[in-house]
Amino acid sequence: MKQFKILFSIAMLFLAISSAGAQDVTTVTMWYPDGSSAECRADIIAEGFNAIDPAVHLDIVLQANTWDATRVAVVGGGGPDIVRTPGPSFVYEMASSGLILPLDSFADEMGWRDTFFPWALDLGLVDGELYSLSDELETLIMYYNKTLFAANGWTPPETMDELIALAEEIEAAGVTVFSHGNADWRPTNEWFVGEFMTQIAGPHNVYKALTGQIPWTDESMVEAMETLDMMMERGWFGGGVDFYVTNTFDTNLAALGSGEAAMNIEGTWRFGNINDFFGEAADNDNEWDWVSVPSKTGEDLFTIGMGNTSSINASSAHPQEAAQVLTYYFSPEVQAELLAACGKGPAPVHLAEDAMTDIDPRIARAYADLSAANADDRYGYTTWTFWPPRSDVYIYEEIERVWYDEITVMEYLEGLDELFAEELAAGDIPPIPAR
Amino acid sequence: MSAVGKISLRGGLLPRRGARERSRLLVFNHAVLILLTAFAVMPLLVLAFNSVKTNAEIGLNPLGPPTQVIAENYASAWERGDFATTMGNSVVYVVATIAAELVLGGLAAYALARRKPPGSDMLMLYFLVASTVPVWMYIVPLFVQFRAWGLLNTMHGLVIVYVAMNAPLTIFLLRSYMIDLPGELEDAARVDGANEFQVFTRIVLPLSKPGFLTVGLVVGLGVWNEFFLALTFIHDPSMFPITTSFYKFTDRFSRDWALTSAGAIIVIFPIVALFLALQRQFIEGLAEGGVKT
Repeated sequence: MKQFKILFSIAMLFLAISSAGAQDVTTVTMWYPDGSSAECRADIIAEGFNAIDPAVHLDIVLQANTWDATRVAVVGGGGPDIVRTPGPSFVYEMASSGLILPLDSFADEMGWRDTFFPWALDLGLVDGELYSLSDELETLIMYYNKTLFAANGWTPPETMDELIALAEEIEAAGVTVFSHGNADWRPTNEWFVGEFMTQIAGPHNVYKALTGQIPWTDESMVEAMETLDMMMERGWFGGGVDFYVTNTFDTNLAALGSGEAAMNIEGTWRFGNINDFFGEAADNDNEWDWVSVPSKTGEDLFTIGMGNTSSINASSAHPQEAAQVLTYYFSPEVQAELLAACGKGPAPVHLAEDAMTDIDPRIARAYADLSAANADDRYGYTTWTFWPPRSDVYIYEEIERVWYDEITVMEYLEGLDELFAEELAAGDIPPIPAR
Repeated sequence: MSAVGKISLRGGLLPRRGARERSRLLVFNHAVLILLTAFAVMPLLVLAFNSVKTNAEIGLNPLGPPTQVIAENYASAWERGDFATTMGNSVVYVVATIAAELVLGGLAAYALARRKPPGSDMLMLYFLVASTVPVWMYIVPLFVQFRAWGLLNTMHGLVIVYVAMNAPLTIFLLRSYMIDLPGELEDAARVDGANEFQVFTRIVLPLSKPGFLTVGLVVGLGVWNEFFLALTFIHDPSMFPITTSFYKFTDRFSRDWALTSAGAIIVIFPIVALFLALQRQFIEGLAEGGVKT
């Protein structure tokens, strides 16, 4: 009996110690989009954070179709502590409904205002308060088959006129000019609309239109859309509109890699798998490289976009700890590691100069140039980040009617102008950083 | 001469022409059937081809046979998609849902078909209307309720959702089947002293076997392929169903089609194997039902 009492006391003591220990650890949950590089990212984030502070444990759940699951859970009063959305334009309604917390006090306390580019924090403002931190800085660039260019004596163009002249040469050589197509993702169309607006009409005119200072029917916008329409009409985009709507991403990339096509205007997200279509992996001897999409003036302009955002759930029991996780996640060191190890586009934070020494120099150059463009006022706007939702859908759906000659460029822009004016009046425009 | 010729043509050649026409018709029928078969088989063949190609080859040659067979795609898909976990989970979801659906739906259908309680027509109308409401209309309240009941992130919680979602279809199908069964057999059983439960289990159930098989197949396939509800109610990867495995092969604007195709074959295989193993029972069940009704 005495032995039993001693054993029981030891057991109770052990239980008390272990339960006390368990109570001290706060768990912060984060749902992260599943995908081919998701485990790499989750390992770096969770293992790194959990090694720092034993009192706070970060639990990352890799979720397929994260956004649908997240919004149902958050609206239902549950969900993860850290709420990720597909972009700044999705934050507005969550903030207006009180589903996510304002972050201004955390930004001051944890030094986020020094970590992020100033314009990037502005993207998370709703009615003057910070609600989200933008992540995965991305831009569109022009990939080209370097081996094909060298074999034909072509040089990458710097201006829109040079691009058009080169396209005629490429066409004459029997090569598809751009390996473009939207069969996998219809909003692919908007990449080109936004890009041509920035590169031809110029980022300052786009800014004026986004802030309601000039209409979308401005002469500069008409010129941009007519150039885009001309390229589609001449069959430069994947062989013409009928092919364009049936070309998949793999078809496009395989054509670029094999030399059947010469160029491709796509996002920096393509760095993740472009090597599958060049060299040994694709059984060819070709190499790729990239240049900025040629502008009308010859200036290197980069449209900026955000892949997603992070906020703190209003029903989180541990907002302070969630903010600690965000501080760690958005630190330049972790962002650099995620870029180098997993190919993740970095958040718009001030990366250290040596942050990209271990990555493919072509990729490092892209992010360095993008960063320089942001600093030098040479940035433009991606439609999915800066346009209000209905106008955004209009942009990529209705442009097909222009390509099919059902409406004119002017009719397309008039429709956009009308819809945009409604959304502007309703206050639905995502935050546009002042320039 | 011509008249004689015509007569002799009619008398002597017509039967032979009929045989020729029949054989022409057979050739035509076979051609149509071969085309329809090709229409059904070609996508599966293309899927099988693409499951052993590289992504670059899929891009250049999306429909043809592979120039080089990359069998490792299957092992990579199995490992990266964590099919060992997700397939086991889906089997649990399917079996549990079918079992609950057949027991509960079968009893409900019998009651509505035979006992006709007051308001049964209204109840059927309610099922019909409720089954047409899109899931987005009630997903949030359902989530809130499940959270309050502690059913989130549990396998039995998800099974309850699946059973409820499939109940109207099950009850409709089984009720329609049972309503056509001859009532004399049930009356005879009652005369022999069978109670209502015995009538159901000994008479109605065997006669409704084709109906139950059909419901099991439809519900089972639906649950096997379900994705959205699973992601809404389950947040623990160890309980994810098989459909989530495909997301391991995607990124924002790219998909590994080689692994996706290999994964699709892995997902289809158990269903096809099960159907082939049970096809005799399916056909016998249908034939049996036809004779008895």
